[in-house]
Amino acid sequence: MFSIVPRYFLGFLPLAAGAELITVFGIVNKASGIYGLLSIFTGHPINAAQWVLNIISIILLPFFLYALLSVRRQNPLPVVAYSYVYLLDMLANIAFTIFFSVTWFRGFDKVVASGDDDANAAKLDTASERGVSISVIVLVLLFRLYSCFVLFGYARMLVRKSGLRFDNGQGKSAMLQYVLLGLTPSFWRRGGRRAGKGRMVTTLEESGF
Amino acid sequence: MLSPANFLRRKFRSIFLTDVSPSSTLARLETSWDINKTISRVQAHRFVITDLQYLLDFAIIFFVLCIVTEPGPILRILIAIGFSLLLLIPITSQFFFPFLPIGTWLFLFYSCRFVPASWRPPIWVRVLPSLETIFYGGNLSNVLAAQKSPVLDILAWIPYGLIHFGGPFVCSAVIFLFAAPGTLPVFAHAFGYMNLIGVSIQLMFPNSPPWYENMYGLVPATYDVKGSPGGLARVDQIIGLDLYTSSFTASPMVFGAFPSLHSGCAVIEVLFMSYLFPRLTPYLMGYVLWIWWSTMYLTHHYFVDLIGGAILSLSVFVLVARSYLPKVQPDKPSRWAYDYVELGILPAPKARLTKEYTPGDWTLYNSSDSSDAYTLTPTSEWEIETLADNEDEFNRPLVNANNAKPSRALNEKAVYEG
Repeated sequence: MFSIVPRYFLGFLPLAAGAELITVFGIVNKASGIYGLLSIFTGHPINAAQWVLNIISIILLPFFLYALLSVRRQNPLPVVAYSYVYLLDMLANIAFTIFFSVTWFRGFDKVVASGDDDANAAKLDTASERGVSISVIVLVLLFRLYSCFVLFGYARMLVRKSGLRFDNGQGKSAMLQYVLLGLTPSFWRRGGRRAGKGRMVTTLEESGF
Repeated sequence: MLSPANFLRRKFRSIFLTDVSPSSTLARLETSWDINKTISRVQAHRFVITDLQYLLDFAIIFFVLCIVTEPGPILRILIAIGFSLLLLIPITSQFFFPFLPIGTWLFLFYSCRFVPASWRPPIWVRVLPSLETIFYGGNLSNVLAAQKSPVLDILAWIPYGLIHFGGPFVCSAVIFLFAAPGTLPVFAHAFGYMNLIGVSIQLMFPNSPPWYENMYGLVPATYDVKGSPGGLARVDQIIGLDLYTSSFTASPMVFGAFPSLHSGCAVIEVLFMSYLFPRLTPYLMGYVLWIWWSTMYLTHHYFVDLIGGAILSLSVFVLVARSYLPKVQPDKPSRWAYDYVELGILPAPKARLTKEYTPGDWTLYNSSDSSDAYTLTPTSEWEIETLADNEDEFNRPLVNANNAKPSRALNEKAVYEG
């Protein structure tokens, strides 16, 4: 059956390896926050949006490192939490990308023209430079969207593998499990939305055998 | 009286060769000079699809030897014959055959200046600054290069100008001594192909580095523009030598900003080192942050380039490590201690499906009372793989003690035996 959630990363790598790669890509990207905030020492001015972006990156950096450990150890609940955070982070990043693109490309032609007084300056093919930049940005955002699907697919695999439901949590993590899996129970449930509609999905463990 | 040479030999033996198993030939090196040996080895080789890589290497080297004009044709033919001989003689080929991808990269890198400008794509001047500003909010390399001082110059020079060039040799030596036999060729392949892919991207998607923006502004770039040492010129002034100014000015790859191979090399070395010595991982990550800072401080790269290099290295490492990298055996101190080698980090799913379960597994399970010990027994793997629905895939045993309820395993046992 066709499903929007991939079963292999890029069609050939297992989801576990894909999730690990995506997390490490996230970590190296979040490292940008460190360099951005070094502007405090170098005295290079940065604006409010940059401050917010850098601080978000720095806060998420340790979380992504923790997520990498969870992805490696295949802990279902932290990976589910991480998928949600990744989704929110992606949405925030798309908003930032749109904001920065608008401010950047508004001054794009002007910056080029004032950059140099020579006749050369006019020769720079700004249209195709802009085109390449925008296509790369769109491709990267599409890849991040795909990464999000991969992470959710991986998290769902772990949840199903360990038989978690939103209502069978134990101990300290029960509340977290209820919140994380209770939002869309049919997505996480073994058998998906069809579960309970004429298909026997109760496992031995669930029947109390 | 012990001569120094004898002392060193004894020391070496006491450190590395104490627990060599006498029958093991794994770590032994080739000492033959007989070309026929290599030829018969090739004849006996069962070719697989991945052997096409060597065809690609030879094609690139052939292309390079054709377009290069600097050493004359006779010298080039001599180089080709010499390289072939090095590959054919067993004692040298054990080194030069794994070195082939790195050699190909070095050949290609050197030949870049001879590729005619008419064959080349246009140089992008504004793409990288645009990407950097849009993804990270601002020009990070400008932020970092805003404040200059001699102390920072030296601090940036150490990873960029010294460790970067010495690192591959040190890593190779460490890998050769301490890793499982066969790890060094894997490192050589990963390192070589990472750089080869990097240089190919630089050739096909040429971008100007930050120093170009600082020196010339945003005017269109041509292939006549000379390279620049960027911030390394200040280092040359400090140490009073011409280490970088003339070599970077004559660089064969002027517009190779993306991806950064300084970042790529650092990341792939760090990945291999942290694979061998997991405890060093935080320090190794610190090194990556350090060299990233120095490339931006010296105005050689935008942050996007560093991310590009890192992603390239990570992808190459994951692909190579999954199936070719010999497993580390923590109780083995050096290459000579290995008496067998397993390839690939992760166990193949197929291998586990065919695992045999001896009665010993059951007694192991029965005697264990902690849930942790239970999850480590193969029974749990077997249970998970048979009961879960087929659309999921399985790589590793489940390591979540929470869900390992003994009742489940009891059920399984009943099912299995019944």
